[in-house]
Amino acid sequence: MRKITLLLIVLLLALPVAAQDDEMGLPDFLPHTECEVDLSGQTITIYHLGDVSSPGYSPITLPLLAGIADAAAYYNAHGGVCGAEITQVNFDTGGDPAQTSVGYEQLKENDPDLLVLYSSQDSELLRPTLIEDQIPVIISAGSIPGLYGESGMELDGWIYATNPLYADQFADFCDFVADNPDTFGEEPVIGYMGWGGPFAAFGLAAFTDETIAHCEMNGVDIIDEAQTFLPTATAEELATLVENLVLEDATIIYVNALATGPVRVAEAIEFIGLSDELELATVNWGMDSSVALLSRASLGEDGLPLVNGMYGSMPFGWWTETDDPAIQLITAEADANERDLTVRGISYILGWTLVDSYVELYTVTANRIAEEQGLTDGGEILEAIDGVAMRETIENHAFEPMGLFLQDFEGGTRRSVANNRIVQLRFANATMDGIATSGDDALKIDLGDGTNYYPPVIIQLTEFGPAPDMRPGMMDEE
Amino acid sequence: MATNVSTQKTRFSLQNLNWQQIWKWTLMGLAVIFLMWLGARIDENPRGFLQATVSGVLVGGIYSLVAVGIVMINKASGIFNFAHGAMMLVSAFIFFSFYTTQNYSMVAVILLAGVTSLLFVAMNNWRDILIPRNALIALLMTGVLVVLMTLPRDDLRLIRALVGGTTGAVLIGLMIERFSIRPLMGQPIFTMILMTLALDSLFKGVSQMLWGSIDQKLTIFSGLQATLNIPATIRIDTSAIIESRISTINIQTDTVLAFILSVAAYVAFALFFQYTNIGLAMRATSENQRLAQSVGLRVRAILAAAWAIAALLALTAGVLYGAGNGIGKNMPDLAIRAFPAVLLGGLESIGGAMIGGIVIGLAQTWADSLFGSDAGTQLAPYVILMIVLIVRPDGLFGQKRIERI
Repeated sequence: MRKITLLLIVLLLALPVAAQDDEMGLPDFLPHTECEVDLSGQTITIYHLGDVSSPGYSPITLPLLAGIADAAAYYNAHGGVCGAEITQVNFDTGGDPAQTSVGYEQLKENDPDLLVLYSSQDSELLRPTLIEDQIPVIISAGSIPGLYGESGMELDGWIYATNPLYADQFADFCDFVADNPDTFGEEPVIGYMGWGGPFAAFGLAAFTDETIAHCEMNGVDIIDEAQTFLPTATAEELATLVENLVLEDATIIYVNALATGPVRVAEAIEFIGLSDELELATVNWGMDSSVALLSRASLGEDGLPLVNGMYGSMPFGWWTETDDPAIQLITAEADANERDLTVRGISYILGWTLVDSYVELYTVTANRIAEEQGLTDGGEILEAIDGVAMRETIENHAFEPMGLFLQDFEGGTRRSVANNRIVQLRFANATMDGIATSGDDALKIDLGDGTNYYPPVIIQLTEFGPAPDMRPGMMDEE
Repeated sequence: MATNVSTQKTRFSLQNLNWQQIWKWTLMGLAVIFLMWLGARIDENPRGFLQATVSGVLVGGIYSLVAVGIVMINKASGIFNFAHGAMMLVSAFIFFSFYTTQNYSMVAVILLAGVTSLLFVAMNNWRDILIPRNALIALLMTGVLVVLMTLPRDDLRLIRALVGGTTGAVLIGLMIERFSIRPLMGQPIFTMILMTLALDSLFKGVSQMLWGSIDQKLTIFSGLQATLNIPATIRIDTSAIIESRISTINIQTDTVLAFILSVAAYVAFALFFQYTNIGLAMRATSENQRLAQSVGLRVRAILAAAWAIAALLALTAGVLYGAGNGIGKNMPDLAIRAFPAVLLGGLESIGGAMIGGIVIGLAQTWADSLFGSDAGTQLAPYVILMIVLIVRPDGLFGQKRIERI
């Protein structure tokens, strides 16, 4: 009896291993450079330094960390990085610059080859230190000072933005406005609003002299003074700022903030009764799927959330683009991990693409280092990889993380090729085969709190293409 | 001799100048320049100024309620409670949870009701639980609370949420007093203030762990609006008197309801302090704890009650604010903006807190409107606070402190 029990235990223990063997290898739609080294038994850590607890950034950093965790588990179950296990270490700055420095010093003790940042403020703060320490950083979008220094002209740097900079996104939107006079009128005037105070590095990142000049050159006026607000601002408080822009003849309000920003501004516009007169647009973070959750109780006269029809940039794949197998995979994994709606933001997707990038960057670097130095032991190979080696890979290896966007820093630019597209946020109809025209025909999911969730959909209005380069001096090259 | 007098009269000396008069006239001059500038700005956008005034008063109503909660604790124990904003957040989230779901854990509900009841009957001393009458009261209270918190019908969810939120808030207040403030009694007051800072971080962390980072909308007023057939925004047409692209003064119904309830809550608490035994006992305790104890007042129980009431005020402010603006991690910042209101009104004055809140609300919206940015929201409360602290360090209605040296 004891032997049978022992046999059963051995069989039970063997089952997961067998199952894992079946799962080894990534699906075809996630192509990666073939491993020429064996890193089994090793660990590759994703070091993230950012604000995960303050009201400012946590709505995007918490889903990001969840995305990294789920993706790491998935990739580890499918072979990791040439056998090495992916783990994550996070340092919470709480949005405090002093803590950013403390956290950086702590993470640096682990001798990281690559770091992840998610705040323009942190990137601007750490830029000189990173150059000195030769540690490359991946950031999603970013500010010009964060990548190119205060002057915007400093070409050395170790921070790489995988998505268009905020200034580039704003300029791209201006081009779209100029190309569509039927929608925005012959004399469009944009009023700019962005997060201020400690979040101004992000909030005002797109309001640069170059962007304003670019827009005005294309016939789109920008109101001289940007209106800044804190993430805590209520719709009623924002109404005053919107009024300031309206009195300067604004026809479009552009909001450079995370998702709460455009939602509150939409509420403010409705509050002052100008929903029919003003168009609303935002940066990629404003087009987060969480806007649907945030605005579910703020409905317009048409019965749809007030952010219905909002324009914005979306430089990567989005939740409702379900034809894409990568989106299908991410959705299935979010379901499997029981991730709720608050986690299913765009940064959850970016968490997955980040892990995919790590797999590719480490594979390519490990292959190269092993060949160059004649190393075969996994531990020695990873030991030999440093920031300089990683930077060489980043700058010389174009790649599409999960096929959702292009990451191309070839030629030494730290702003990725910056493909962007302009999209519009709408809501699905009840039959899920089109766009809802009013609350009556919209798909509604009762959340049990007296509100309905209206599943958002994005409509692609322009093809993916390079966004204008808004670094100082670059306009001359246009 | 005559020559000497003449020389003295014409000699210029800085010491001979009447600096007080110079300051006075300079300030008056600056005030006149400011008023002229203000008049010109108002003339540019009179509708905006009117709108800012209405909004300022309404926003100020919520600040007042927050400020009253802070004053309450300060009156009873002399502590400036930095955790008030986080208490608002957690208690509003508890209310939200009972309002939005019926799928709660019965164990959690029984624990919530049971622990609250036990702490309630043992406000003065743990041994009070052993008194049969108290134990019976705790048992009955637990039973009633559990029944009310688990009301199954959807149309009764407001009652469920009110009972659940109130129980949660009272539990927070009593636990703070029992486990973090009472052990520090006798220590310097600064120690207790630091404890409230620690509690602030703790509550924020707990709320993020339990309720996530996305704002939640509390729709308690939408049903009322539908029943009373009130629009979400009341619009008063001003086009006949003021020419502007925006032709209406707009008032959010949620904010009006929140303001009315804030004023009602304020009146209720003012009456409580003026006319109830426990209210009077609290006032006596705040004046002099030793003296209060010597006349037989149970000071520890009174302090516990003060924390419980402050937590209820935090719940009220959190729910009313959340109904208009959502419940989220930004909520504690509201309390930070209410701090100037507290100091403006005077640390011990409940009436002062009310007026201070409205003044701060008005200053904020006026400055936003006049300076064309959110300078008002970010700066105006603190500029006013600085001026008041310089001119009247005890606030507008605070007690003047005379200490014997």
